[in-house]
Amino acid sequence: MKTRIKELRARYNLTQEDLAKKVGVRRETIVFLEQGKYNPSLQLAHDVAKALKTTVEELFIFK
Amino acid sequence: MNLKTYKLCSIIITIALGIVVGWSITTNNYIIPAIAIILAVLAMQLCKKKLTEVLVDERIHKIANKAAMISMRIFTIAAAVTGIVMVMLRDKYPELGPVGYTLSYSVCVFMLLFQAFYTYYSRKGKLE
Repeated sequence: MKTRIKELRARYNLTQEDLAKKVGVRRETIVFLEQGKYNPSLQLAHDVAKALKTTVEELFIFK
Repeated sequence: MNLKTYKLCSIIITIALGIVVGWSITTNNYIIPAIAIILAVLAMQLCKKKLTEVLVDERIHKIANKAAMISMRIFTIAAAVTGIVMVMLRDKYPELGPVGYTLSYSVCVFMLLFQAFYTYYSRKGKLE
């Protein structure tokens, strides 16, 4: 699974720490999400998409 | 309080508790450790309330669950086998008998508890 989290984070000038605080997770979780090494729950995927003003389908790319 | 400070406080509280309990055991005082444990728990709760960063999230929960499951499997097999061997050797080494029985029955209780909670949460539906 690939994600566009890093790209969208840069667009809104958000650090990993900022995004982590916004969605209520640890910074390490955002790091693993960006690297595609962690599959988030539906709730977390939705929260991250909402924080980055996009949809889950746009944010997560399933191979 | 940030995460680094919280971890430092946790370490200090743990060390202090260890010292108090260790000293109490050597002086045969059993009230002080009980009070110290209660105070340590309260101190940790206070630190957690003051923590501004996220301590545990869903990823940490998943990691902890996986680690607990693997540890449980290894421990129950090892403890059950060790307990059985100790019980088998009780005629030759009488002191191993009670230890073996305690270990074996502890594993049984642990597995019964696990099954009970597994059944409960299976039926519950919502796990959060």
